[in-house]
Amino acid sequence: MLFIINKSATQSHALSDCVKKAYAGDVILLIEHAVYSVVEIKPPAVFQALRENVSVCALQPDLLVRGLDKERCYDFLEYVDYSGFVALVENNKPIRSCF
Amino acid sequence: MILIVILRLVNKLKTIFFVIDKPIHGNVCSQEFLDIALMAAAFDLHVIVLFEGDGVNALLKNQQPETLGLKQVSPVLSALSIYDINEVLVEKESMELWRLSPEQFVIPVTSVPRVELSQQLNSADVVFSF
Amino acid sequence: MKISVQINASPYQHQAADTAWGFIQAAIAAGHEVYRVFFYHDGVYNAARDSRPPSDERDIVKRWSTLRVEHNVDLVVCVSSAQRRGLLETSVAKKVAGYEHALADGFRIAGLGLLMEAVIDSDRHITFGE
Repeated sequence: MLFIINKSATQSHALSDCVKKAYAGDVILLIEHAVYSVVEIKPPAVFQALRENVSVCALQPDLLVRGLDKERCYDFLEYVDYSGFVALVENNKPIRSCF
Repeated sequence: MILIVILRLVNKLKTIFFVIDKPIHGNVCSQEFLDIALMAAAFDLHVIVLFEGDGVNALLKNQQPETLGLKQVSPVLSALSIYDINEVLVEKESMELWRLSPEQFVIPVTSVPRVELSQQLNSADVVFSF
Repeated sequence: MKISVQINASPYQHQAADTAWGFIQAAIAAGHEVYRVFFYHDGVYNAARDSRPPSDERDIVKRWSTLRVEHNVDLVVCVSSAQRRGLLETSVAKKVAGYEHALADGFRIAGLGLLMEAVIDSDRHITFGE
């Protein structure tokens, strides 16, 4: 399953709910305002419940738009551009957009 | 005729989940969302409707949206079975969180734990949400 | 791979149309077929012919029209979503509102059946929204 989240964890519960629902093999992709949630904050609330073998990706162009440097972000993250986004869609089924 | 039968068999292979995980009142989205579910069933797709999170409250009896001039959703929920949509699931954890039980709901539902839902959802072809 | 896209949010007020645009460009560049873009809920405003953004802003509606011309992507606006939001189909528009086209070039108006067809025929279906 590819979860797509588009709101930050402070904007909506979608991301924290998704972290609870994602099991091994699932991928969480953060786009739009959701990329604010990849900035490392203390305590690291939202990703604490993340299970093993669930990968978290962030859409790099959305970080750029918002002036978010990778240095400020969690180190377990993977970054994708739009072609990487397409590859995630190609390699995962189904796709669940969580609004 | 044969073509239609084959087409239907092929369609049957596709499983479509409809997830209602947010409040349904105050906007038209949930109504339009359920229209897609009914249409999917009319196309003979294998439709499963899942309520979780705040969305479980959509199933409550005795909703009175007409007091604000809004449309009742319960008739659409009751229509699901007419459209052969008989798999209506509720996430067990969400129901516990809201301290609700199936007898408080307008239609019969099956309570499924989150971990099992994950497996079911992963075997779906498409997941619709709004 | 055949990919269909659904857009549920209005342009300018949400990033959905922009994200979908980036995704679709990349999908086409990677050799995939974008089978159909289906505009639903407030997403129908992506097709508003009379949208006139200031000249220094991206023209989202025009951008979709070019997708039709350059890559022959089927742009379908849901008729019931559109009617509810004041974008009338030509025959109705002529009769009740005295104008011909509510939709910009390259878009067509149709029912949910075309969304179902997209779901059935595509390998993936992805939704962008609010």
